Amino acid sequence: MKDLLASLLLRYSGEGCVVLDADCTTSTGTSFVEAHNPSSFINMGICEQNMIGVAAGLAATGLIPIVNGFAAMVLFRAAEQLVHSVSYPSANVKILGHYSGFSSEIEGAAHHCLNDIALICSLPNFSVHTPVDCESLELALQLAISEPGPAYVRLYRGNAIAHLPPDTVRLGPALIFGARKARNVIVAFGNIIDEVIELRSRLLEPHGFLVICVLRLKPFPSRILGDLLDTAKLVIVVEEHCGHGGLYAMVSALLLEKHLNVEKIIGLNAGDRHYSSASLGELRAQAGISAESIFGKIDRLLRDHA
Amino acid sequence: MTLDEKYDSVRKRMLAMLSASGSGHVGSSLSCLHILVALHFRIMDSHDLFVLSKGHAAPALYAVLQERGLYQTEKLRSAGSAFQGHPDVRYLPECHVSTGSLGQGCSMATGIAMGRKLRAKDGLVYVLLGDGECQEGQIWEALLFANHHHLENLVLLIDQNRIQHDGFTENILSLGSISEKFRSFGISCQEANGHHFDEIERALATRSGEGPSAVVFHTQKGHGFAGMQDNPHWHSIKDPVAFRAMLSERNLL
Repeated sequence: MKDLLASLLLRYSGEGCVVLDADCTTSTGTSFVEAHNPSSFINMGICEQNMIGVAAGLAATGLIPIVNGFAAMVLFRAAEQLVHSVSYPSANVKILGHYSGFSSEIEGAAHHCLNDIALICSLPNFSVHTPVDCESLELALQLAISEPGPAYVRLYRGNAIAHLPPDTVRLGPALIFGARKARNVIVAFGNIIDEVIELRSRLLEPHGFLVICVLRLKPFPSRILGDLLDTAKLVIVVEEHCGHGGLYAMVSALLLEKHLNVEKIIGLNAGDRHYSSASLGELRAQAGISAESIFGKIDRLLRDHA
Repeated sequence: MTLDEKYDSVRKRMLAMLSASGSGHVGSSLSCLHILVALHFRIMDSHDLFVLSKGHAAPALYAVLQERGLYQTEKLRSAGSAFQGHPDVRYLPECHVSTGSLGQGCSMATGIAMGRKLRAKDGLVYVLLGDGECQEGQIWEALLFANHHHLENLVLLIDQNRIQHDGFTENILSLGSISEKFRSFGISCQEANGHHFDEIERALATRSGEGPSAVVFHTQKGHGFAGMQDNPHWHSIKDPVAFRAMLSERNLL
């Protein structure tokens, strides 16, 4: 996916976009743009606050800046700049948050980013995209760049890419697989969907689960999700994000707003803590969102309700 | 009309809107008013652009726009007004970017200068900073960038009135020599009296042309009013009655 992203960025850099990076070019893949279209690339140095302000200034001249950096830094070091220079004037700035979730792994807590969605979804005018594979990445970038105003795209380290099952159906802001009109539903976003997919044969199929992978968190696809959750009794929300201000909060609010008669909603997420250097698998296991952890919790729940 | 006459007219407009609102950053607006008048009525041409990074001095910018015939009926700091508490591009396209959170206007102006350079557009980008504002680390990030990219179309103006919200800058977080610091960042920098039109014009006429340039203007907060001048108490209007009395004594109401 990193190669695809690099080629997409190169294409957009020739179409009125300027690609910015905060000294992470070989990690984010923007070095490809720098090598092939240097006149539409700016390495901003390790200056995230200035990078966001310069991006807003570039946008004021009619260019479309695509800002790249590690999600943990580009969002949180420059949070107030995102509020003031981008969100409130609705500047046409696109932010790509790389290495989000646990994907920076052994880099440790300084680089993990488990609260980007909570921050960025709280900023008016931002649209928020969470692609998981090549097709959804292409769509996310196309929407982010073609729609005026600020956008955030959540990305992961390297070539992380979800391996979606063949029965996957794409519904625009979400994709689904598994049973329809289901009583049991898993809702997730981002690459944690891989852990859910692992459970197909021993959990999802035997218990008739519908799986919804949300590709656009803002504006939240309430109508589509409301229809998909119409028959749900058990809803499990899985996310590689903290427990506050993420998908669990969004789905819970949707269920209340739509008066959907769900018996139980469970949030499986990174909770309310910081983590340490470890592999992606170890970190997901610690957070209780690895395939094994998800299986254990849901299996127990289904047994209790049997 | 001479620049002095323009200044009197703009100042009268500015004080009238501050008096009507009973609030606003009067000291900072007075310290930079000569600079804004010189820029807008003598120095800038139609290709140039001005960003008020020290957005607290919004009344000075608004009065200049009124003097140019724009927004004659707007009320300062009222709901829906083009003259928001700090410059808001949603209501006032002439401010180019929203400012008011100190340090951010400098980066945005730098981005505009870079964008113009990439698009081969003519004209200079003037950005006015406060000396207190220079305590923001983001300013220095922007200077590194402007110097690295040789943004000769960027002119940084510093209104050194020596006072910030809580008192004298020297007592709160001393900046030392701003011009030496700018020069050490590779930016050609002059100093001038910010209340003398001749000095302002002379300083802005002698840019190096090889990269960003800057002028540190020595000014007085609350310039021109004995009780207000160099007085940290008048960072903003805390007592509208006393403010109106001060204007009334000078036949400025």
